Amino acid sequence: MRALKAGTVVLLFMAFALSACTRDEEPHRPDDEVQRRDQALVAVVQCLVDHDRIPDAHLRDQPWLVRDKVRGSAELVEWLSSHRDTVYEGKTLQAWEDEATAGWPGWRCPL
Amino acid sequence: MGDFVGVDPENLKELTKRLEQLHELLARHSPLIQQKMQKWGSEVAVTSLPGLIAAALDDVRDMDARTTRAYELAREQGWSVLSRAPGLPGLAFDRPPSVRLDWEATGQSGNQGKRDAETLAAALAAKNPEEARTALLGLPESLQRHLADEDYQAAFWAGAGPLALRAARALYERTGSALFSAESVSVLRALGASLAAAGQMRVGTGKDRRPLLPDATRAALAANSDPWSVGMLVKYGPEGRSWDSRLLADLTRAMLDARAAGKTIWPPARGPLETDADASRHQRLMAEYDAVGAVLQRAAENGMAARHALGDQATGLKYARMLVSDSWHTPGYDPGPFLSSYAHPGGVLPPTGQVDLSAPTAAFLKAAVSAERGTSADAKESAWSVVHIVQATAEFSKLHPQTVLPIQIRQALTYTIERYLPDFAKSVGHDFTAQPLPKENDPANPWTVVVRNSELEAMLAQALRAPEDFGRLKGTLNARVAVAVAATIKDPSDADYLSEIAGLYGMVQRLQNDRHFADEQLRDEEETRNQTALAILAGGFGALSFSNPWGPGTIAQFLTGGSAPVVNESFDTDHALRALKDNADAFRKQVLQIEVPVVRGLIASGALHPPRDASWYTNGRLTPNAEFVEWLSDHAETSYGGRTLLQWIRAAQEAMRMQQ
Repeated sequence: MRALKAGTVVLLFMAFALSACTRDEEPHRPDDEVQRRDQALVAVVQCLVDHDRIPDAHLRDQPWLVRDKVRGSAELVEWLSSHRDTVYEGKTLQAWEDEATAGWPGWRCPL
Repeated sequence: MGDFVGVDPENLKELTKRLEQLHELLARHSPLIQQKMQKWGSEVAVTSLPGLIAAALDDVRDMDARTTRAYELAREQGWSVLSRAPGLPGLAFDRPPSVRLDWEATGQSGNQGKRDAETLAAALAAKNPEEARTALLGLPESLQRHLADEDYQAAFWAGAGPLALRAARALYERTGSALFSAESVSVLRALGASLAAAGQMRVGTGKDRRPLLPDATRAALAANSDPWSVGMLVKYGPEGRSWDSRLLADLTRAMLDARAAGKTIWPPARGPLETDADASRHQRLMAEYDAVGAVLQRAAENGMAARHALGDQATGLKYARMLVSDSWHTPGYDPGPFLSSYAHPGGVLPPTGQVDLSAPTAAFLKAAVSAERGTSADAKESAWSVVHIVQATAEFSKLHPQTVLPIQIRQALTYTIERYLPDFAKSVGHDFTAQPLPKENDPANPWTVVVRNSELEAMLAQALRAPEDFGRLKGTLNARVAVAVAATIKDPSDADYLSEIAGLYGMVQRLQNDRHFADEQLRDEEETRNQTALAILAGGFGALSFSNPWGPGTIAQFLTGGSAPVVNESFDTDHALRALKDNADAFRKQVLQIEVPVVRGLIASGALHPPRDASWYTNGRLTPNAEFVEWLSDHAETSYGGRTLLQWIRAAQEAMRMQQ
């Protein structure tokens, strides 16, 4: 039993070492950041929508907003593109997104 | 009906010939006649002349149909061209007897179409190229004469239908160097032209409006039981714009499906390939008579056809996957059987002798993304094509990480990137499912695309291989700063086009860093970058003007912006810029790369009016010189379009961050 446990520990260790190894070998992969950025953008816009901090005119006929629920999509990226420099609650939308991405997944809506 | 008259076939033939000559003469001189009559102030209405000339052609066709029928009737009565004259040795030409024919009915060219179809069917059914050729001698001329004749076209294709689509297989030569004789080529040419013309025709009105080509013919085109033969009609048929775009798109799909299903798309092999030279020659023959390539080429020339095929939301991706591939070459052959048993003891060797066929594929891909930017359905299909091409390229790279696509296909990818540069710049940083959408999600605005960050990166990695590839794209991005500055000022929304370019620039730079080019190669990269920026800025780029308010038109102009100019050597003729080019590297780097495009952008947006007496700005052209540098330093803190000149330059420098 003891031997079995030791064996499991060794196997686990090897698995860790192996996964660490493959991660190290990968060239520069910004995919992780891109995934976090996607989730952060949805959370930031949802936060601003929930607290009514985006003027209605900015949200009119936006296909990514259905019953006050923000849907992550190419259309949301298009909207972001035309509001990158818009200031909501003292910060540009781009600054909001950058901050939330940096803190992801721990970021919480500060409003 | 029933208006029977007696005619002498020989005289009728002569009459037809003279009518035809008269028509030709009138048609040739019609512009001159109109011009002269107008010049002399003639009161005769000459505007109806083209209509009269067209009517004359109809008369020629009718008379031609009657002549053919008259000779047929004469033959039915036992007459033959050559006969044995009594008392004389050998054969003599015999004049046909008078016959009675239904003047009205036989005058309709539909009859001629029907008879031509019968001739074709009989000739092709004989399966003897010699006989077929003789029987078909008169066909090309008749087809050519009736190209715009709907009655004829309807009757001909209803009669000849699917059989005509297989003409190439019946006509090819079994031996000799050329696959088709001159006569066969003229038959294929005429059939191709007729198919293209008929494909554009519609019959009926309102709800009943439908293609003139019979369903059976259209079905045969789609089912494509003999894709090679159909491809030959397209190869010898007219240029792509003479075809109906939907028909060509259907044909493209049918050809690509046939190719994917392993159907016979190559010309028939003629006899056994006994030597290495035979096998190699056959590969070249395959390349010359490449059916799929012929159809792709015509669809590319047509433009819209390529966009119908790749821009279809449901099926476009499937065909983009087939096109973005390294399989565009002849199959090659196993050289084993031609080697001595000493050199090659047996087994199958990798194929050799493959001929590259990626040119039409690349032309097709380019055409698929080349609709004018705007709000049209064509622009939407073009946007979908971009989405599908990016996705297909990413998938290809994932499946074949080690494979580099053929150079021509990679060039088509670069072309796509340059044409949709602002769209790709906007897409950097996010990975939601790609899709076309109108700018700002407003249906009144031009179509743009948002693609996935991961797929864009894979596409860039495929397209950019050599240091020069990177340099060229970065030079284009440099030049693009001018448009980005102008658009940021003009666009009333809070878009920041400079920061979007910065994102794309960063992605390109990261990919370049991953490649670890040697110092010498990096100098090539920098040289190409400077030349590209210089060529675009010194080219037609100064003509760009954003004088109108921001709206669909200006947006389309912004989207098209820096993509149009292609690097060429023409900028060398501009002495000022040549002097600048010969100048110190540092000066070029500082002034040319950032300040020039920024100031150009400010001028284009109307935010900056250059001083009247400026030596560096004449006739809408900015030519940097010492005075320009002085002006820059004097105005660093002057505000233009909401930012100081220095802030604009800083923002642009950030966008182009020189992170070597």
